[in-house]
Formats: sequence, C-alpha cells, structure tokens
Amino acid sequence: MIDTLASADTTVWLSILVKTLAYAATLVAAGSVLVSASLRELTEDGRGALRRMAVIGALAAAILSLLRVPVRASFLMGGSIDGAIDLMMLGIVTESPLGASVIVRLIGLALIPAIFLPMRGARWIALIGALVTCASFALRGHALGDPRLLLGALVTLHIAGLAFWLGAFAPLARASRREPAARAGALAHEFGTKAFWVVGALVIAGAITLALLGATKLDALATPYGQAFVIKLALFAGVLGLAALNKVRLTPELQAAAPGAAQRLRRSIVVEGALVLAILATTAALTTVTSPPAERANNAPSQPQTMQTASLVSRDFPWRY
Amino acid sequence: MKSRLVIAIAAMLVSGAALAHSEREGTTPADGALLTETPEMIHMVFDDPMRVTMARLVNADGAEMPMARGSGLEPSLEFHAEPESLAPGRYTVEWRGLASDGHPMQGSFSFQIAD
Repeated sequence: MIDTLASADTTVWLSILVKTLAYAATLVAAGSVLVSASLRELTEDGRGALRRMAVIGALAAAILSLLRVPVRASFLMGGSIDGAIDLMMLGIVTESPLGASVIVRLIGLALIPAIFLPMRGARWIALIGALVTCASFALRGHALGDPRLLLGALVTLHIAGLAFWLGAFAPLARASRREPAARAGALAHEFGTKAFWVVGALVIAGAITLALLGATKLDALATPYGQAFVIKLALFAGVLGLAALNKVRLTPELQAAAPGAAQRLRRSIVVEGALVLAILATTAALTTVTSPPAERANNAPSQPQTMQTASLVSRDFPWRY
Repeated sequence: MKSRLVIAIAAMLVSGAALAHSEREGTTPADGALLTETPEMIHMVFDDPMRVTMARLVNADGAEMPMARGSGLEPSLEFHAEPESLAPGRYTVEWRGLASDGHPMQGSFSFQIAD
C-alpha cells in the first residue's frame, strides 16, 4: 500500500484528495439532515446551525462530486490536463458507474436545502434527499455485485449510519461550547443512546456486505488492499473507543456540570473527527490505488493483481512471441 | 473468547478483499520478455471487458515510441497495437482503462530487445 502510494502520480493523489473531501462533505450534508430529524434535544438555535451546515455541506459535496468526473477523465488519459477537458473522456466517465453515482448524489444533495423551506413536509423532502445521497454510494464499485438489491440496501444503511455519526460532531461541539452544561449533556446523552444502535447497525451492515461479497480468507492481509483495510479497522477501533469514552465518562460529567467537562468533550470530538477523516482518506486511497484480490485470483498462479496500480502480473500464453 | 470474536470479525471484514474486478490476464510480449526483434504486436488480454483509454510505449529514457492503436475505446477482452521498428533496449507499455465495474485501472509491463 505504502509502496503503491509512493509511486502514485499527481492525478492519483489529487483523486484521493478530492474523493476524501467529497466523502466528508457528502456525509456531513446528509448527516446534518439525519441528526436534525432525529435528535429532539437540539435547541432551535442548534437546529438552525445544523440546517446551515447541511446546506453548506451539500453545496461543497456537489462541487467536489462533480470535480471527480474531470479528475477521473484526466487519470484515464494518463494524468494530463487535456484529459480533464476531453469531451469524449468526460462522456465515458459520465456513462460509467461513477457518473451514475454522481448524478444520483447531485439529485439527493439538491433536495437537502428544502430543510429551510417554510412549508409542511419540507423536512421530509430534505430527509429523502439525505437518503438518496447515501444511496448514491451503492451505485458503484462492489455494491453493483450480486445480490445487488440487498448489497445496495446494506451499503446505503452503512453510509447513513456513518453520516449520522459524522453529522453529530458539529452540533455536539457547538452545544458544549454555547449551551448550559445540562442542556449540552442532555443532547450528548440522547446522541450516545441513539448512536449505540446506529453504530451497531453500521458495523453489522458493513460486515454482512463484506461477507456477501467475499470469502473468509485471512491471506488477504498480505495484499495492499487487506493492509489498508486493517489500517481502516484500527482507526475505526480508535473512533469506537473515543465514542465509548464520550458515552460512559464525558457525557455523565457534562450532565453533572463537572468543571472542564465541556472542554474535554470538545477535545474528544475533535480527535474523533480527525480519526474519521483519516478513515475516509484511507478509504479513498484504498479504492483508488488498490483493489481487492479478484475471486479469479484464487485460481491464478500469480500474485493478486491490483487494479489501479502498476504491479501487474504476466503469464505464459500460447500466442506469446 | 473476546479475542476469538475480534479475529472472526476481522476475518469477515477483511474477507471483502475477495471481490472481483476485471484483470489483465496476460500480455504479448510477456512481462520481462527478452526479444530479438521488434514485436509485431503489443497485445493484452483481460478476463472481463476493459475499456483501455490510454496505452503508450516508452523507452528506457521515458520517451514515447510511435504505436498504431488497433483497438478502439469500446470495452473489450483484448487490446492490441502495432509498434514501429524499435532499437535494442528496454521498453515499457503503460496503459490505463475502465474496468467493466467502473473502476479505473492502470498497469504496465516491460520487455527488452537484445542487441
């Protein structure tokens, strides 16, 4: 993985950066809507800030998601700027699953600003937008495998869970800074209670997805993909640890208005946010410079081949010179 | 018990690594081949349709060598191109493409033409 990254060109790095930021903005946009709809302890002020966050996130996510198309086109043309503006290449990318995913995501993101509309049902429109946005992740990559419908539902559930979690960081940090300890504590307590089930669903959905897609082989750890996945799991374990600390220790302290509790919670959220960002970056790198060893590789005499990297294998063929 | 559970979950999660993409199955010339003359054809075979969007032949100095592309941009199991006469030395074929599942791919293979 490290070797592969070390030999990656500018387009690959740009692709990882844009993908990471697009993931983060998309999850914040969708997550802010989900959090706004599900946390009753949010104050009107806090809810207003969350709405603004949802719209800003949606705007950023739309721009970053669109940006992925020319970056992909550039990659396909060997990393040239010409490739990024080549109409034929842009057309090919738009016709690919990435294009379909971006289009659906843009539709979902476009519905999110409805959260501001002063009309009945506007909240539901934004909520549908958030779920469509999450579902856009299921329109590409391995979610397109069989059983497609189930995989799509599981990926959407996994992303929605992650979005809810990520979307709560800002309102929790804001509440701990601006609101009385009891009020902020109540919000943190409500989030902790709901997040327990959401994170459980997130983990189960992710695990079933992977179990559906693959076999159970630990030798995958020897591949760059497997190693990157272990890094991701380690980071996730760190996030879970911090989340547990927040729920078990920091939230009760905040509810009891213990001195410095709000500051400790904010610090913990910042670290948690940084770890989630690292997870997103690892995921972006994972899906950009490595690929899972193919099922067919089980029968192949050569080492598993990464898709996006140059570590290719060659075999003897009858028509060889 | 807990550690076994953790290992089982990790195994299940890592098992996602066994997913399928199209792969490049083989090349002509083979990677690392030592040839006595310019190959008539640069040929790649994939196990699933691949849309090869870029392929170029470079020499040891990184200079691009002329190569007439025989395959179009449509998804195909094979790609071929005809290089012009090459001087002795080491050459690398670099390619990029879109797999049938939409994943971008890149790869390279090298061969050498002996004096």
